[in-house]
Amino acid sequence: MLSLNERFLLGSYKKVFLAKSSGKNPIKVFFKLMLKKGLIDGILTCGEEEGRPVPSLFLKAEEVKISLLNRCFGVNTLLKRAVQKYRLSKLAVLAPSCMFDGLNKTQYFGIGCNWTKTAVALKVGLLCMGALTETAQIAEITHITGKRKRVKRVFFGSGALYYETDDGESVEVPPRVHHSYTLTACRYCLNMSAKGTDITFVPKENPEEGLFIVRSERGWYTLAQVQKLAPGELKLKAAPKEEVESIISCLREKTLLNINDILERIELGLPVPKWSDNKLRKFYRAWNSVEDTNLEEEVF
Amino acid sequence: MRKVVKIEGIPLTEGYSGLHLEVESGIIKKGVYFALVPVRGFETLLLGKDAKVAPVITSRICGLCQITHSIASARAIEKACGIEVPPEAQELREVLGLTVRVYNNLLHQIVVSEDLFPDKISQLDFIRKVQRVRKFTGEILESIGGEIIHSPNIVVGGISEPVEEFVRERILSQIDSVMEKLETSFAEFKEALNGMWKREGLPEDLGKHETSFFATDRFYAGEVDFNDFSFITPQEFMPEDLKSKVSNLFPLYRGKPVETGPRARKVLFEGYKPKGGVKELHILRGQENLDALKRIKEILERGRFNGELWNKRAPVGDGETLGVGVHEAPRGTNVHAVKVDKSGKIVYYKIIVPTELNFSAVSSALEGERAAWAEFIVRAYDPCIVCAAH
Amino acid sequence: MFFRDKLINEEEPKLKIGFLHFSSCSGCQVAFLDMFEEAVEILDTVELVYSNMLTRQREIPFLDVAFVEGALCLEDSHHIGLIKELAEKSKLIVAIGGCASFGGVRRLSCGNQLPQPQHQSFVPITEIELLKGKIKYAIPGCPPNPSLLYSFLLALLELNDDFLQPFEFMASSKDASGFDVIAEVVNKGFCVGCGTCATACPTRAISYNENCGKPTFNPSMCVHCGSCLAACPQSFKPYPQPVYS
Repeated sequence: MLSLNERFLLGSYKKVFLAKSSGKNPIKVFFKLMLKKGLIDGILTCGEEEGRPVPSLFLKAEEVKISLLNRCFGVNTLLKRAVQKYRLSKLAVLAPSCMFDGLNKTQYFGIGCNWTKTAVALKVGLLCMGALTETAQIAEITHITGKRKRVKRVFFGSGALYYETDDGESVEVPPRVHHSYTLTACRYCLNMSAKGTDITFVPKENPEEGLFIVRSERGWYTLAQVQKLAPGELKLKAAPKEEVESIISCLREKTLLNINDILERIELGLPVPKWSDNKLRKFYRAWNSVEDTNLEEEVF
Repeated sequence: MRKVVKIEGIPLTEGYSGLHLEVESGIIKKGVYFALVPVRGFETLLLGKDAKVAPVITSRICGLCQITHSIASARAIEKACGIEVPPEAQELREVLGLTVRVYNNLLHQIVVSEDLFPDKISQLDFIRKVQRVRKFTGEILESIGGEIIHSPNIVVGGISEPVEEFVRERILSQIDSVMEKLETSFAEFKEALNGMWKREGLPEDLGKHETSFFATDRFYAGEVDFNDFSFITPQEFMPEDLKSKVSNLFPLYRGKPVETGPRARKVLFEGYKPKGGVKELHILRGQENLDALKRIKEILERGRFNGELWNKRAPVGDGETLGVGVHEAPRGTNVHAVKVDKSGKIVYYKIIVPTELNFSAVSSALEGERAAWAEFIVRAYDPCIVCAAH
Repeated sequence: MFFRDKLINEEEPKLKIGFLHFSSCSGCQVAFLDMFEEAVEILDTVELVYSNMLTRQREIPFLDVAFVEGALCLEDSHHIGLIKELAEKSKLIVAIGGCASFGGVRRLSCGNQLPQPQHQSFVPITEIELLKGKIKYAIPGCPPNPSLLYSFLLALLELNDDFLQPFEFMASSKDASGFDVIAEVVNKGFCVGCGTCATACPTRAISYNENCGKPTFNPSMCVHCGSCLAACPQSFKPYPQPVYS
């Protein structure tokens, strides 16, 4: 039987920190500092151009721009440029879990891009409730508010996902509505909290705040290094228990919807990702039975 | 007494090739060297295809000197369609072509190292040294060309991706130390070559012949009139059992067989006086690596390649104009000829690769030599059989 | 384990490998050498007993693992003989590269070119019934990345089943072009828009539609090498992954 407990929803972690930086997006500050101090030599993520998210590769601290929307598409298209052309060896990646699936695969098998195995220094996951295209997001916000608006920022508030629109309003996004507008593949996702990364980042209502869910030794060490090299720029304190609880309840609701969709596919006899009884079944055995809590997570 | 010696499959060469030798008391009176891999039909499979895909597909003719086919193909289409190419893109293509020259010539040294070194330890040690240089050439090919083998950045109209300044500087910063490594391995190669000649008791001018030379440029590409080429098919002169097997044509330049490749380039463009023989060919090929690396450094130091390098105009021709694209490949002059129609489809495609030209040169080099040495002569020409039977 | 007892002979611990070449460009074998210095280490660890390019061996000896590149040309009698020899003399065959595994650029060939216009039909070796039991793995790519070949060889030496399993699956799969990514992933609602297929494509036939967050496929550039579907994170998952069992 499936149990939607913390271990399953959030994965294993060492500690959750509430990060704060004055006047800036904490994750942006984090990456800028790392680039400046030479802890990494490039960032592969979704930047922005004229308010629209675009896959970007940043090599200089002053160029770093990080999209505030959850529309992190096509990040891996730049992998060959980063690794084969620029020969980066300490690459940091900020993306939701699905991008890491592709990256991990490239690293493990070597398919797709040469020399990736040893090129990545840090993997920062994004908590993601499902990504949408620009058009879908407009449709969704119109559905919720009845008005055509543009979404400027995505964050997690008390127990739910919120949008900040261009008129400065914060709108709570009901999971059921969000579920029907996201990319189809996101409706079968069971790794919304980016398990298997070094750190998972969760944007908070206050743009200067965010949660860092530190998972791996490497994530822990890197965060400590940044603290040591630039004390004060990024203030960390242990996140209150309610913060974590609130995210878990948010994830639980969406996961239930996702599982429902997966079951529906099984009924139809369609192949199912990350589940049993599909035609590529043997390769999914890692995901085959979502039962129990015997977790084995490993970061490359 | 004259007897016929047939050899099929020559070890330590690329592909599957054969020799048909008429031997009298151990000496070759007449020899023919030919390809035996199937014809893959690159000239016919391109017909009706969009002209833009030709560089991608022709690259797959050869896995050793891939980029030379992309370059020759792109140049042929640009000529046929009157597309201007940014001069920086031409220079980058030259860099890529020369990089493949080093990459491929060193591969040939690895391939023949089995002949050169009597023991496995010194052979592996030599390969390791050569591989360090090849690794650098691989890096240039990946950074500028996109991939090591079958680089996709060569496109009709230029180069698809600009090269950022820091990438150019990174490559330049390594060139001097690579040059040193290349010089060391070249010295070792020459020494091993002398050792081999002594060990096998080979004459200094083994494989000397009177065939004339053909090349169009020292480094990149020159012009050639496609009407100067004619072809002999194997069906015209090969023995009965080989007529339906031999898979290469024997091209003639102005009605005569020619030798192309490193020696031809040295003779025609540097005033080199050839001594003849295949040992010289080995050494000149190694010397070309050094020249090529110097030239790469010169081009990269002089130019900036971070602007737009791609004229994206769609290739459209008139269906009549023959575009001839030439590139000086590692093994010699590679020529592609193409006609493109008004809708941008390829209506004619013809490829002449250096190994094809060299078959006749190898054949004449074999004459008068001992049959036992035939394979040494063949290997020295670094034949690329898959190219020849494209 | 399929070949643990069969492959490893206690008295001769070195694995005997060979490279065979059918109708292809030799690029896959060169890609093997493009592991650069690591290639030398591998040549030291295993015993390369046959390769027309790298050994002086004329006759094909008995092979533990035969790496085969290229497609079979039906009109070439030498190729037919080679297939029979391969069936006899090898314990295990690995189809390496697009041409041997899925047909590759050979799928486009139509013959009618001098001097042998009859050479027109090319069959990837994975489709030959005679070799069916022997071809255990197929490696996609045109050519496969040197890092992929290196990892594969290590996995083969270590008998790492987790790594090898997908390649076993691909030996019996015909899905190799961008159309299959569309059919198996995009159409079936699995595409997350990560762009790994676009980066894996060696010809850049797959580009990326940022508006829709989906790959765009240009079939005329495709050489049927299988890289895109093999690289897609939704076709099979890499190990290690979070495990719940």
